[in-house]
Amino acid sequence: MATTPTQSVITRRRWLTPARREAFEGLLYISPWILGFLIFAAGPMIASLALSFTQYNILKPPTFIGLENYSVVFARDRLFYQSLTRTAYYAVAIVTVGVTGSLLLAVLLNQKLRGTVAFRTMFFVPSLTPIVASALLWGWIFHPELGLLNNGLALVGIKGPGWLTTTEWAIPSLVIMALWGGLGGGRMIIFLAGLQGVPQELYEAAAIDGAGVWARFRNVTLPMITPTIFFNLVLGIIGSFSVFTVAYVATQGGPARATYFYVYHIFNRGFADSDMGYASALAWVFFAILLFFTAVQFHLQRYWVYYESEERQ
Amino acid sequence: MQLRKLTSRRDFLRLSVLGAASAAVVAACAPAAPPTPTAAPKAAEPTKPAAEAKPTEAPKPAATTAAAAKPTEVAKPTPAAKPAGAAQQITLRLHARAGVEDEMFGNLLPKFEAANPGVKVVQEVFPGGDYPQKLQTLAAGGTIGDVLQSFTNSSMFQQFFVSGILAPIDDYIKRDKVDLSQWYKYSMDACLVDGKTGGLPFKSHPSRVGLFYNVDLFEKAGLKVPDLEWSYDTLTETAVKIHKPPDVYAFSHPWHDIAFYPIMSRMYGGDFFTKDGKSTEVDKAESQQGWIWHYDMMNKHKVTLNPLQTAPTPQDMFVSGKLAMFRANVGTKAAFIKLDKFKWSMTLAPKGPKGNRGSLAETDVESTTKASKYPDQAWELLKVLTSKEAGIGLAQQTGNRSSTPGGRPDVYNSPEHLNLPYPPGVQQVSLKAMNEAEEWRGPNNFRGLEVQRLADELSDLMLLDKEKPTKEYFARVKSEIQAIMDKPRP
Repeated sequence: MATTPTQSVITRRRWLTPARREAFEGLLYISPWILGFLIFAAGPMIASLALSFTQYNILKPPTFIGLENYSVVFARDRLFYQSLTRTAYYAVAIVTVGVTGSLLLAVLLNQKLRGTVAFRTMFFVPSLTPIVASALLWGWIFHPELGLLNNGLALVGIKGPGWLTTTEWAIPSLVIMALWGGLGGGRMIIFLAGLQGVPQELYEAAAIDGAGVWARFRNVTLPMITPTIFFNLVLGIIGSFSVFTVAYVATQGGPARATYFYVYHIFNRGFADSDMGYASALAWVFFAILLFFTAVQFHLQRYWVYYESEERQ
Repeated sequence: MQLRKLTSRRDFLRLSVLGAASAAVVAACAPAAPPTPTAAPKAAEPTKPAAEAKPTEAPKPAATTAAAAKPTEVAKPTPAAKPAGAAQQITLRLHARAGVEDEMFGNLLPKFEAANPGVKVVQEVFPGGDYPQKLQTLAAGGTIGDVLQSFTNSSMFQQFFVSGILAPIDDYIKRDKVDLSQWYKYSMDACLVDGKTGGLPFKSHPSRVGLFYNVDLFEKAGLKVPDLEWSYDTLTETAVKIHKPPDVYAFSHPWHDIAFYPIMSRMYGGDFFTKDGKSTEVDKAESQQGWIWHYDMMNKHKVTLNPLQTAPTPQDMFVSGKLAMFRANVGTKAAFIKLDKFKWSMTLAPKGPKGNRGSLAETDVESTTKASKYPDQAWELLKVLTSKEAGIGLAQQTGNRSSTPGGRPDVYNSPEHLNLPYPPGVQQVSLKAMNEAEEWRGPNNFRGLEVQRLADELSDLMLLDKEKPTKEYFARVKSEIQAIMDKPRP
């Protein structure tokens, strides 16, 4: 004899619709990641926000001081503005030259020529070098008297600058260092993928209409890879603003704080000066700045980024 | 009853994820285990001599407060108080830097354990560059060990002590009638904060007062090698004669170094910090002369390697045979003990007009922690780590490890130290340097690293000739550094 479902079973079945069940199972499957994110990312972020309103030297419990840290950041810390300016200088150089350079490199490596695979590998390998090793290596290359670079320039009659030992050339030196590892790295791979996603028939159509190489690049390639450019631009700005390791290893922020970047300032205030509350405030201001830049980019993308599936009025 | 299939893919996935999530939650909620003990590495990572703690003590064995009572020799490991329960094993956690003192620890700790049955010492080593931050993190997380090493120059020791991480040991000193004169007076003074003793001197040295030189280059140039009677003018004149780049570079000196600002200011009889550490003396003429001398060497005579160049280091240049002289820590000699490419030696930095060479007695401190569950045993270990045997063991370390001796006159004067296989006279000069070392001074508010960063910026401007070392320049240096020294303790 078949049993009649009880009222609670009927209620449960109505609540647990297939859609809800699927959603629940999906959450269950990603729960390890969610837990990890909450424990190792979101939790510390919330803690640092709370600490930014305190005086906290790590060794003693935090003391609430309200907005004092933020007041110091904007009104009394000259290094806040100095480090931000230097970081912006570095970021602008890296992003403009880096994105453009990676794109051009990707275009070159996208040609169907013999040896392309080997060249792609050669250009990619520097990006695998750890930053610390790269900084030490370039320290030698940039030596004003003994380094390869100035000795090479001397062969063609050019007296090389002091590179990392002068305030004018310190940041350009770090930019060169970063581009050596960054031009042919992940960004180039992403551009390559984007280039290979451009429909061939567009090129054929353009060629039929008499478009030359440059015209095809400008009117077909560039518009079609604007999503990729946008992606690299957003990540490039965030990544370049976060510059730290190379300054920490190669210059310690010098000479005369010429390479005293923002994240290095956060590190010094937090770990060297044991002022974790203030360092947290600096970090949240940094977050707000990056969020602003990202929001601006997302807002502006509608004017220049073309998505194939997008419908525009 | 219909048998449900339990092995559908969906069910399998569901169960697996549930199991993994549960395991993650259980693991996250489990109490924190103490850090896994790490054996000290045999092949040590090279550690920059500049990262060393600095000795601060002149070697005079001054009378101590315990002098009236019979002094207790702390060299021999004494059995710690046995815990109740015959089979109970005590584990002491010792924090140290990786690859710096591991050879000495490797020899000494088994002897301590043998003399103290039931007590095991586990070393927890961390890379030197991260060591202070690592210990801060352990302290913040409540998992700090029992005995640890800390440094006075960066104010790490002082901050840890006033923050209640380190245990005062005055009661133990009194109980055991410890003779404090067995350490250098300046080394013991460095262990005092606000009148309380936070540890014992682990090792000490007179800082960057060593003048290393390439004998062959001097002989080739037909010049007299540096000696103890040189003045800074003599060094300048000789540097001008020997400097022939790119084959020979005359001189190199430290820079961007918390210890070097007091040293530079003392060269001509001045100082950088006042004795109470609440002010800077860089506005005094005799304090400025050392800065001006370095400016002239770089910009007027042009005979120094650019100290802003981080690679190659002066040691690299010296080993390559291209650098005639460089000023560095006396302990840097350990890096050249097997150097046989050319004849080299070491003397002390020249004397200024008032007889100062510019030195700074620097000390590493060994301390017990307040969190230790076994304070008596930790104290016994502390005494052993600061004993004569430990100090000699430090001096005898090989390879790229630190060879800074223990901060004790009986170590510096010992045959084991004096007969180490360095070029003739080097060890005697090291002893002389320690005997003449000038006292350690630092900021009273423990903001040494903040002061250093500012001093680095301002001194770079002078070194790069963007600012001349004028009265106005030094007034600015004084004012900006004083602003940091006026801040409260962090």
